[in-house]
Amino acid sequence: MTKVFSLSDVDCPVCAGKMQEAIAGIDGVISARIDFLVLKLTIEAEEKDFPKIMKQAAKVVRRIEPDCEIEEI
Amino acid sequence: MKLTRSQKKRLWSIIAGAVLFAAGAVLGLLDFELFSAIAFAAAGAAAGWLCIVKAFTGIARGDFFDENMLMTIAASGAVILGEYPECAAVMILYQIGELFQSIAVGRSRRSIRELTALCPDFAHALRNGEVKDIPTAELAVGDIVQIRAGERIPADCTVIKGETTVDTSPVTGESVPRDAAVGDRLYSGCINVTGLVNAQVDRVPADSAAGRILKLTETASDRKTKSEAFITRFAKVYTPAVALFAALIALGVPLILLLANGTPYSESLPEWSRRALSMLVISCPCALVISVPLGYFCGLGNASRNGILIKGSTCVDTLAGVDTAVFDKTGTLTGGILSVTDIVTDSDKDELLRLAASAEKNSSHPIAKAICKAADSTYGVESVTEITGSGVEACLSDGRIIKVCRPEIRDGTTAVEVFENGKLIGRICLADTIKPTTAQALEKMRSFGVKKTVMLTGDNKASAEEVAEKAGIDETEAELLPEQKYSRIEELCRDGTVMYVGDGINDSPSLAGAHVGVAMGALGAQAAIEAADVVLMSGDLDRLAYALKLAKRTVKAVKANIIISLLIKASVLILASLDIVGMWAAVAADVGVCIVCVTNSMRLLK
Repeated sequence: MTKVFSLSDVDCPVCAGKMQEAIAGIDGVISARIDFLVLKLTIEAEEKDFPKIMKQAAKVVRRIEPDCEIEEI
Repeated sequence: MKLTRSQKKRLWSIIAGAVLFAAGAVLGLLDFELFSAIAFAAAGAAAGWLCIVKAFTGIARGDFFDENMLMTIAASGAVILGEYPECAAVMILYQIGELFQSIAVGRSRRSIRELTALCPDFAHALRNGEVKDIPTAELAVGDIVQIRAGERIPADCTVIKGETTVDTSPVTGESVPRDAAVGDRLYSGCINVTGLVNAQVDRVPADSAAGRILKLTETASDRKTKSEAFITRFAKVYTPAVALFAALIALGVPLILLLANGTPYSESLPEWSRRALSMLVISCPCALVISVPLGYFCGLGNASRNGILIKGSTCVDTLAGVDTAVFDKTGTLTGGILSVTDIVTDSDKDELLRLAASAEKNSSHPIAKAICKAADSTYGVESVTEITGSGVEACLSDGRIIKVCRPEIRDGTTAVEVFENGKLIGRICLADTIKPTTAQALEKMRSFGVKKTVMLTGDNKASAEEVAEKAGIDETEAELLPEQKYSRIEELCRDGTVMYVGDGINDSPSLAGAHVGVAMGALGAQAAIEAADVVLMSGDLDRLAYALKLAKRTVKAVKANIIISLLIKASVLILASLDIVGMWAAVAADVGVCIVCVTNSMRLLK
């Protein structure tokens, strides 16, 4: 299934690209996409994997942009 | 202006850096050289700590060409070379640049959100006989909502009580208000202008007109255009390449000088290193990368504001290059409504219309409506019998019996026969006529690069040619079957960039076959929205001309962004390697590129 999240405090498109790559690399993620201009993160994965993935995702984005937070919408 | 948390952090580090920088400058003037150097270094650290931290997390990720990394190397290199003020200045300017970029990006994000925020936050729902304000998102199909004058319509719904006038311009871009009464459909995002109505929700807000527009604009940047792909690929190569070049200059040139002239390292290394550090600063790719998608994004935002949905920045590119415009006839060039085009009779033409209209005046048949609209007055009628399928027979007050035979409407044209007391007295020809804006819109399209206009229609030749002449179409092909239409479009596609414009109902193969498929008047039609690349919410061809113009402007702005950013970067790169400009200028150029590109893109919103 696919879920959409909103991101905060991402001002640099290159960073957004790095985040996308990092999230796509998390175990269980089928595909991940960040739309930099509308600050949306779309993740496709098995439903049961989502809690684990999101915990991991929060960690990897913060490693790239310390103030970035992911929120479900 | 409200700053976000990370912007505030940045602002404070800039202020701290600036204060320490000033202290360093004062200490320098007072000849406390050591203290001055410490103050400058501290200024660099205070302004740049965010950047330094990110550089280290970057290394931990194995990312060595991170922007922050490059800046940190440049600043620490300056310290090693003893250029303390440079170190502080680089970091302070860099942070100012980042703050500017962040504010600019935030502002364009906000303006686009405002443009596309068509739905009200709350809706007045009638539940258990009471009016309750609930968040719009919680509306369900079947809910009854109350919509007051001046309010936006929260979801697609059907009027069940009251009547009003609706301003559809936020969704369609069309400025003429529409009347709505019981049974009429209202679309979300439109404004209820005059009356109070109760309506039943047909679609949840997310699937309603406004919701769909928002979804489309937000996912429109999915498909990457050539220029986007180019700049992303370029940025990936650019940064390592410049960094490598810098390293070569710092280490290679002194080596060559040593071998050639015997110049010792101690003399040449600091100078060439300084040049290299300036180049590192220029190698930051952000300004480049942001320039392209932001331009498209702003263009798409403007389009959706004007009732034009463009599915993706690739479509903007194609739209800007359209040279052949192919139109369907009915519903596209014409309004899809019949009107009287010709009257054939031996007696008075107006009299014939009057007689026919008298017989037809109580009928709701499209032919009847067209005849009544054309007649200047009618006679009194005693009785009327509707003969199902063939026409109407009326007994006028003066005893005359008027019979109007309505043949089938074929290909948007028909001719009715009028009988007086059983004797044929004349014929009235009716046809679907062109919309008032059509000819003018086609003229405009020509000025936006369309070289050839073609009409492909299933209608008969005579009516097709008449419309073509009035609209100013270059080539007309009539009596085509749908598959012939499609293969004709394929042929045209070989010779140029083809845009096909239809009403989106029966022409999905043609929409898909052309380079750009445009569906018109698709406010409520989900299928058309899916099949087309561009959707015009209103049926006004003038919107299409606007879309072409906007696409051209967008592509131009994007190109300008690319050229400006590459030119500035390249020239600063050359100037830095020749030691004409230093690190300060390099950072300033980076900030400048970004601001210019953002401002240029934002112009597209207007």
